Amino acid sequence: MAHVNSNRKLTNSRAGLAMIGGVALLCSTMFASAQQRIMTITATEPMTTDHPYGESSAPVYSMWCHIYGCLGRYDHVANKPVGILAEKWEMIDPETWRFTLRKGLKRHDGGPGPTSRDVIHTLNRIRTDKESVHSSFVAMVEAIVPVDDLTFDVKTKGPAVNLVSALFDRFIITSADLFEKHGREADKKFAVGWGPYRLEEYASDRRAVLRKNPDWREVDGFDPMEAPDVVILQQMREPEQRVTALLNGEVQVARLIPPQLVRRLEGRKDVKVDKTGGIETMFLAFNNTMPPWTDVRLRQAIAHSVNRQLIVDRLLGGYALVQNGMVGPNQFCYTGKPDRVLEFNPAKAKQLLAEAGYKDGGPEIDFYTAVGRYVSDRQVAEAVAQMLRQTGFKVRLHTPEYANFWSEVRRGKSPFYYMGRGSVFDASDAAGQLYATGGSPRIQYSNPKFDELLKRQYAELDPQKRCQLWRELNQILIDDAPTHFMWTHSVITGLRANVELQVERSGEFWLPRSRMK
Amino acid sequence: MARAIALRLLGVIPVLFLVTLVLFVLLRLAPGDAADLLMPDDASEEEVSRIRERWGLDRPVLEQYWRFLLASVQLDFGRSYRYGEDVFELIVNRFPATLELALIALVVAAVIAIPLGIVAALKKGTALDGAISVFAIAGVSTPTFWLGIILVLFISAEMNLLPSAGRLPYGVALPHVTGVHLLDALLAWRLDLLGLIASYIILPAMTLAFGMIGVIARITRGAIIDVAQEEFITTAVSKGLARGEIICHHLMPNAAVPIVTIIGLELGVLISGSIIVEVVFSWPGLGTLLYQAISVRDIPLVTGIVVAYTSLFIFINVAIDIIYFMVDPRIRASQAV
Amino acid sequence: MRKFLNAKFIIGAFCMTLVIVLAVFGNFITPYGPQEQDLLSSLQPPRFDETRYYLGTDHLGRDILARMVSGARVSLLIAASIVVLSGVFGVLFGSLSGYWGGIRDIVLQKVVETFWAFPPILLALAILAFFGQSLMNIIFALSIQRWIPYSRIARAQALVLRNREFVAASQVMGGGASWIITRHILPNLLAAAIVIATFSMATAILAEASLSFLGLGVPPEIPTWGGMLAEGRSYVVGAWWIAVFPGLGIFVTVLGLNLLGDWLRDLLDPKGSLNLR
Repeated sequence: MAHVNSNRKLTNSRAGLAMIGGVALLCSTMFASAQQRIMTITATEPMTTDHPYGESSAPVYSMWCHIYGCLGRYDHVANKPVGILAEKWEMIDPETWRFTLRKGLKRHDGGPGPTSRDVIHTLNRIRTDKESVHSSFVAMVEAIVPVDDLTFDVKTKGPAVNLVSALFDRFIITSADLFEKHGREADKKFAVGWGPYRLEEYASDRRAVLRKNPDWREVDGFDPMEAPDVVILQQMREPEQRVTALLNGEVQVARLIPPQLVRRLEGRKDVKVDKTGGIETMFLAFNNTMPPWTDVRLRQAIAHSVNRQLIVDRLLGGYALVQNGMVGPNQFCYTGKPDRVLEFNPAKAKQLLAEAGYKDGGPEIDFYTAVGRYVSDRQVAEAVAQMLRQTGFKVRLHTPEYANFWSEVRRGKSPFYYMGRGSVFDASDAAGQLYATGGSPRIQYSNPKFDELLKRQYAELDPQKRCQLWRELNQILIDDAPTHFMWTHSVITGLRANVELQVERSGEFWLPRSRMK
Repeated sequence: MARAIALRLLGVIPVLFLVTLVLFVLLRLAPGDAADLLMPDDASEEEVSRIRERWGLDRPVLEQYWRFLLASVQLDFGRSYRYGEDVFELIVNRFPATLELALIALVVAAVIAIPLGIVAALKKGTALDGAISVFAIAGVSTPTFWLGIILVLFISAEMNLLPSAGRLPYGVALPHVTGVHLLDALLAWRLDLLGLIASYIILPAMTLAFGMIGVIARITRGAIIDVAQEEFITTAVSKGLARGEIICHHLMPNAAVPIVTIIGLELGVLISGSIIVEVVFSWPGLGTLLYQAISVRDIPLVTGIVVAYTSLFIFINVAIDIIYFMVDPRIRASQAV
Repeated sequence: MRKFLNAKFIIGAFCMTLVIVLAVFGNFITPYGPQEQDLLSSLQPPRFDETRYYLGTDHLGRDILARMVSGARVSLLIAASIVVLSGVFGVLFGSLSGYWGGIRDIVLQKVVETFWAFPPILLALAILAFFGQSLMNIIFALSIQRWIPYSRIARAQALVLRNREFVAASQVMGGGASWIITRHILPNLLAAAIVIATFSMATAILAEASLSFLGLGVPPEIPTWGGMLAEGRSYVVGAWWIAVFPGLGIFVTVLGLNLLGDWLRDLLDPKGSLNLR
């Protein structure tokens, strides 16, 4: 099948060839369309480049995992990691994980299966390629050492029980041979890997077309017979359009439906709505070194001022789960409701304000929010601002363009803001970055006890003990309120009735396990 | 004549220079850069600054601008940070989609507006004339994005008549020659595809056209009224020629120049004005590309697109001046530049 | 009198009266403030009962009518400020350019061309991104290309006057640029400038709405029709009133301005000899 790329200039002779190829393609699709099942899925994040390490968002990671293949993925229903290209992994000492790759895999072009050499090449390319933006999640990796063709050791810079959750779903393995031979051209002309789908077409900002790899079997031997033959990831940024396209049957799966549009999909026979509890945590963050947020009472006063449940019910259509602390029911190591939580309590908030020296109205504060990045973000911020005013804070709400908002946050210049953190399943990395001393300039929280516990859990091999540590960590984050956690949004996906698909908590799905009638 | 044109074209250079300089300074002064925005949430500060260094974003603005100038003289606008492609190639690849949309919008607008303008001119001063101008002005008064969303809701969602987004469905093999789909389909003699291509283009084109109808209708009306006052028309009327013949053979040919000129100018406006329509309809043209580029501060790409828009805009203006110059000797005398 | 018995004038004046009445007297109709939230009564449809939500409420339970009223004020204020700012600057720039002539004129004209050649939304976007989204910055960002038509007509007028004897005479008698501009250029420009101003007010209101659509509108504390429309579009199926009323507000205002502008143009410039684009 021709690999069509919108970013490629066709010379005249190639255009002629393409024309002949085009007719052939059309004939084949016309004859094949009787049997082949095409599933079109809306893509909401930008699809800009065919460079497998050139864009960093969960949907893009997922797409390349389906094509090139990843070591494994996290199955949120079974609640365990599952192999894709790897079949076995174990921690052999606190700083070393050993992985074994699957035998008998074939590359889409008939080439050999993945080897340790490919894995090492992948790490190098992620780290050194000029266009790669994936280097952050391999930051904890010291080196990858081959043991044999199919076995390799990942040495980490410190104890890392969370390595598997950091690499799975994101670490996309590409062929060392092809890259050595073709360089960057390999991504364009030889976008072949070992995954369950092959790349048939990539047109940036429009769509990617994936075709089922007939040789693919899941790691447990499952044959994805009922999975769609062709999957089209179709770029559609506007939510209204996604809903319309689903209702019209232009697409079979419409992702990220905002709460206010759900009712358009309900009560219909031809579509169904999947609501999965998500793992994108939303929070109000303070820069703990900027006055007045240096005072814990004021941070707590904020927490007591906000009626989270009311916002969830009235503004988010009930499609969110109020969350206390960093670890909620949808996440790894959740051990039940924390012992102490900061509930909505305006009287308490006023009392705290008075104690902090603001008897007649709270301090003047600047409150920032991302716009159009998270579900109803601006609306939520407006509601929050109003609630804060009711307990006495003098709030100025700012809605900068996302680029400005984000860079200020990243550089620690934003005093108080509403934002979220996607894909927090195993919270250790996010916690290390956001709350550990010196983790990043964003929140500037520092608590030696927290640091100590966090470090211990990285090395704690017993899952139960590790989760107990997390219970303590979570309680510290609630009591000290360096950020005030709000909720996790539900992942709302619209599906045509003939599609069966398990939407993971991350919002992604594993296509070989999906079914299409 | 040739000298005048050459001078006009040379005058473009300082403008382009200023445009890019303004843009560079603005983009650099804005907080946030491509490294901030393209690296994921969990990237550490060191990772981000390493990328920043790799892309040369840590250098002073003027040094970056100087590098850009040196390279752009050789038509090298660099590589986009986000798309990882050559900027020039990206623009060349995306431009046909925008051009196609703008051209179709223009045709739609002209087909509606010119007859309206003619009728209004012939019925000058009547209630019909008034109604037409109110209708035309109503078009200009509607916010584009609002109209787009309403059209999607009614025509795509409620009636399910036309697709809501995109340019061509999967599985349609259209040879890529010009990139303008309708033209490509004609060249390959795939007339069966024309309807399909049109079904995707009609909603965005209508949205874009709506704002143009008023302008074109008014110019047409004005031009016809002007020509109607000329002597030869009076003569034709006095000779007792049929009404239709006067309109077709005398009025229209003479009124055509100003109409065509305005349409040409509007093409420039449409091409740069398509950004919102492209975003609403997920149309894969220059507008969406620019929107993406701005949102991540992709300086090479933003600069490249703006240079492209600007050159095109100036080019259209110069071309129109030249047409005017050739057609109407009076302008030759009055234009002192 | 006959010139007022014109469809454009009647409809245009009617639209503008409606909007101005809403802006000025709107507060007497609704008991609510534009920022008063009540999440428990969010998304109420329009109704005439004791709740007094005549135009319904939005997703935060704010009264649409109250927001329409203050939106009318803000939108008109923004548009008027833009017109004044760009008008004054444009006339000054154009007159000086034409009056000076020579190399200074050429340089200034290059500046005009530069601003003219920028894709409009981009420049506004870049400015708002850099300076932040305040009311002042929106006005500034939307003025930055709107002064050009004024500068064109002013320059043309100045060029004509420059060579006239009385100007030379007045220069000899010590009359400076300001004298020439106020006494000779401005009066001749007034008609054309009013027409341009009316149209540019209309486009300014639309542009503000478009910026809101792209997420670059005014801060949420200040309700504008554009902002309401941009927010309301995702509720349009279940709660049409959130987006329909501000959309109507924009449409009526812009229509009114455009109609009045067109009527004025017919009146003041029947031959189309002024360069009004």
